[in-house]
Amino acid sequence: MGPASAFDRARAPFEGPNTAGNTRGFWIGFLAVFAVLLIYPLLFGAYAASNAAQFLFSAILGLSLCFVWGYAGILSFGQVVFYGIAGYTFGLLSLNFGSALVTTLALPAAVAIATLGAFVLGYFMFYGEVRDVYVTILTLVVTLVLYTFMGQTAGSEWTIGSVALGGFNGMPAIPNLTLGVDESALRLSGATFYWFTLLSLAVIYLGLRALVNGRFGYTMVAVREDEDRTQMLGYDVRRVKLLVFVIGGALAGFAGVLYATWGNYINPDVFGITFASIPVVWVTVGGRRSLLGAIVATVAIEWFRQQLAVTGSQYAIVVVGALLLAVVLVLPEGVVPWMRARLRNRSEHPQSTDSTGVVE
Amino acid sequence: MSGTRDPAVRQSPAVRATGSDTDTLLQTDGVTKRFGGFTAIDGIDFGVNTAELRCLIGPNGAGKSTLLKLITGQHSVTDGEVYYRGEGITDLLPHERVDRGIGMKFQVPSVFDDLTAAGNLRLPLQRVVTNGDLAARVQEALDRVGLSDRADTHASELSHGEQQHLEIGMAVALDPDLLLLDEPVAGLSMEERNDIADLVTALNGDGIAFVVIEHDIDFVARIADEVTVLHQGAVFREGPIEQIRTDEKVRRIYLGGD
Repeated sequence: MGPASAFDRARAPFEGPNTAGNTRGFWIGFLAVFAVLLIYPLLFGAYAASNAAQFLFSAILGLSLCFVWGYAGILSFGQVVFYGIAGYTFGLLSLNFGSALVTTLALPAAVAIATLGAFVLGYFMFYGEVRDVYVTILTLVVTLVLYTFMGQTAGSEWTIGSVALGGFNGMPAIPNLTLGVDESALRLSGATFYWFTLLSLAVIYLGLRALVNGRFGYTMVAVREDEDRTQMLGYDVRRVKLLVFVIGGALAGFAGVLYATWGNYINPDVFGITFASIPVVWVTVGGRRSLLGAIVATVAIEWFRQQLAVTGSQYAIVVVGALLLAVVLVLPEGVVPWMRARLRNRSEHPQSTDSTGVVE
Repeated sequence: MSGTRDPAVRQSPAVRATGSDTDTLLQTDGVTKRFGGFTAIDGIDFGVNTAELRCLIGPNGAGKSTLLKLITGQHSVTDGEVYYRGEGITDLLPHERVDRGIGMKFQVPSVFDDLTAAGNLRLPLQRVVTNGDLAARVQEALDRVGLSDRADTHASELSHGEQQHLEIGMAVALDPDLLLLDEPVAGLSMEERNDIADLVTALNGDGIAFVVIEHDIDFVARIADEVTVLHQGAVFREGPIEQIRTDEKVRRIYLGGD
């Protein structure tokens, strides 16, 4: 019983009514999958690992939207804004200074700038009493404004320090993610970048699980369900939404840095309407109230898009759009919660099906 | 039930609005609410004393719910002032008024379906209670509204009456001095009505002042000390229930309709 109860104690903070997977079986499966993912580069090599890493940091972007939309009801097209801002900021800092120390610090600095951006946008929206669909429209507009703005920065007047923003040509030669202060610094690429991304994803997933199952999670769910009512329980709903939005912005920013360092490149397409819509597809398909669903759907859809891209990317986007429509029409709660409900119904009494489709 | 009061000793709104009378908990001073060209509330002076139980009645569209929302801050006043314990709260946001001791139970039962009864009661409490005591305080709140054995039931699976109890429990959990209830027994069975009446009376006995909007005059007669009748956005009558019940003009605008 000793080790078993230690295991149960360890998982307690990550469990609660607001996430799926509150059983021992789930965590054993979680650890097994994590172990397989850990040795993935050893099995398939650095190139495959590097390719897989992009699915994993995309999943962090997916989680950021799942958190703000699924748990607090804020449908944001603006996650890519913070993703892109952080990517560009990382590029500007690391290219301007070039030292290992600055490149190392550029990660937290870029995340901080993205977080600040989320704070400013969120403050004006939520303290300006912008609600519901208008938040969605506003975040989309900000995204497209940035797209247009960054697209016209091709001229030499758009040079910050010694680095050109580059318009649609983008910003090339962004250095790899670096950890260290001097020549001995670790420059992450291939398998090491993959491991860093995998660990980050795992930590963020567990952190969000603890957050949504804790006090703040209850508050978020209350805000999502009924803002007026939550207010009458003494909560400053504006503040709750701002905090959620800022956390979501920080996570998206972190993913954006990983993206920029992974391809050593960023361009205004990160603010384009196609890319802005993709996280909404991931989270809708996976199930917007399921953190695990967001990860699974992001990885699956991005892998699928990559496979289809061989035959032309426009075709891939049409298929993804059709997938979105099918899920919205047939499984409005998303695929992962649906599968979970099916598994439950099978293992429980067939008559206890009144909560089918309801995601906790 | 708290002691009976003589309506004759009620003071003028202006005096009570200054807060010099410690017995006055809430006072509105000429509050007006216009929606576009429609005047929903027309210069109302409405007062509630400490630990009073006052019912607010009136025909549909009289402005009862609107008046409550002006008190909670969910609507902003077009004109006039709202005083609570002598402090002007007209410009405060709803959650700031909650912190000062004003609680509200909505007309439509709106517990959080995704949460259990305990989870619902946790929401108001977790903001003010430190970690160690939270479970105990949730249990206490469940006991207070008679839902101890329903702690782990999802709110969506509670009966309509239990949901009303739960909602009142959520408002009471914050230890309000004034609780506003918008039609707490609408759609409930006679037995459930009696339960709510007992609960409200008991909580009032603990010192919580109530303003209750209710159409059911028998329920009003059972719980209320005092009744305010609204009609067309203005105070039409105020007085003890026996007096209101036999008032011919009140009957004509309201009771006679049934």
